[in-house]
Amino acid sequence: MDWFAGAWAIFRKDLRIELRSRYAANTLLLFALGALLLIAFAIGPQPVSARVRAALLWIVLLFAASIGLGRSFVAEYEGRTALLLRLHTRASMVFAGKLLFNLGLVALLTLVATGVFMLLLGTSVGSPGLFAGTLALGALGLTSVTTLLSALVARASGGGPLLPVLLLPLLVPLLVSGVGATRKALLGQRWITAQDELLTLVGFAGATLSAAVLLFDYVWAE
Amino acid sequence: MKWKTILGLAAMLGFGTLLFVNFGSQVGGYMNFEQAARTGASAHVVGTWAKSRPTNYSRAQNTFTFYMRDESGTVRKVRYNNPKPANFEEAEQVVVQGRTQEDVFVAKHILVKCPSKYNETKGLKQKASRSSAQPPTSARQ
Repeated sequence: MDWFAGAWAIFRKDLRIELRSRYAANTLLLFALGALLLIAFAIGPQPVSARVRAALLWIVLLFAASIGLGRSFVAEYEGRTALLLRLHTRASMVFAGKLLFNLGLVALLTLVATGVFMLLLGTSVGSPGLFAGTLALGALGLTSVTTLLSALVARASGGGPLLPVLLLPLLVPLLVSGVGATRKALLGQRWITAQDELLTLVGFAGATLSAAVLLFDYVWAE
Repeated sequence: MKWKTILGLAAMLGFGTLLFVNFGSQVGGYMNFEQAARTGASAHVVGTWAKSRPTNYSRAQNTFTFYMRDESGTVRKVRYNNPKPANFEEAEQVVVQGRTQEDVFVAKHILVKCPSKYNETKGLKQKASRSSAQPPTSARQ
């Protein structure tokens, strides 16, 4: 129970800091809104194919996450609180708390971006269940990779721009299968047709999450 | 600590396998003729040359047509707007890349897989008996 309490405390601490400044949420949402608005202007009134729509949505999500999620670890080092956390908690608690916090941010980003995307591009979703499932699995994979890498990058001086560079190549399987499944959801196909894509997303989320749990101790230790 | 490592590695291995198996089937890319006709987009089809059906090269239009049997057994006419690829008769396997247009598969590229003259003794003998200086394993047209 101690472990859960510690992880929860770190989550709550990050949430309160975030609610005070709204730095990460503003970055994520402004980037997503701006990008989607520009996409809507660039495409114009002509309808585009489901594959293009799915690709655009995922690219906006991935870039927004790679820009906005690196903040929480950088803040620990800038505010000189990292040492305090190391003294009082175990690494796995820090990881769990930050993961939960980032998951909340990605969920917010996904919800808002998808809503705006629907509004601007006027697309209807053929099978909402598959759509929601794809986005949820994709968000989980995205969060676990980003949390580990942002912890890594925060240690490097001036590492901010490094995060997208390290992150985007790792996200290729997520992008490919996310776009594939989203396209099928937009076209209104059934769950079973997107089986390969969904299993890839499950595998991606699981593999990156277990790798992150294993590696975080070494990233976090001084 | 030890337990965590073992458990973590096992989970990573399991999920990693799931990822690679399913990701591979998404980007694999080979189809049979039916699937290629259904997508209507550019596709790779792998199969063998159906030798019993007529094969023709029209010099005037510069088109080479032949019949190909794909891996699920469907035979379909393939048109290729180029001369016949080198080594075509010796091919064990043919890969055509193109799209279906009105029951004819119009190939942009034909890849010919020939028996290796280095690995199998049978292939070596065939090559030797023909005593020709042809490119070794495969030819991209």
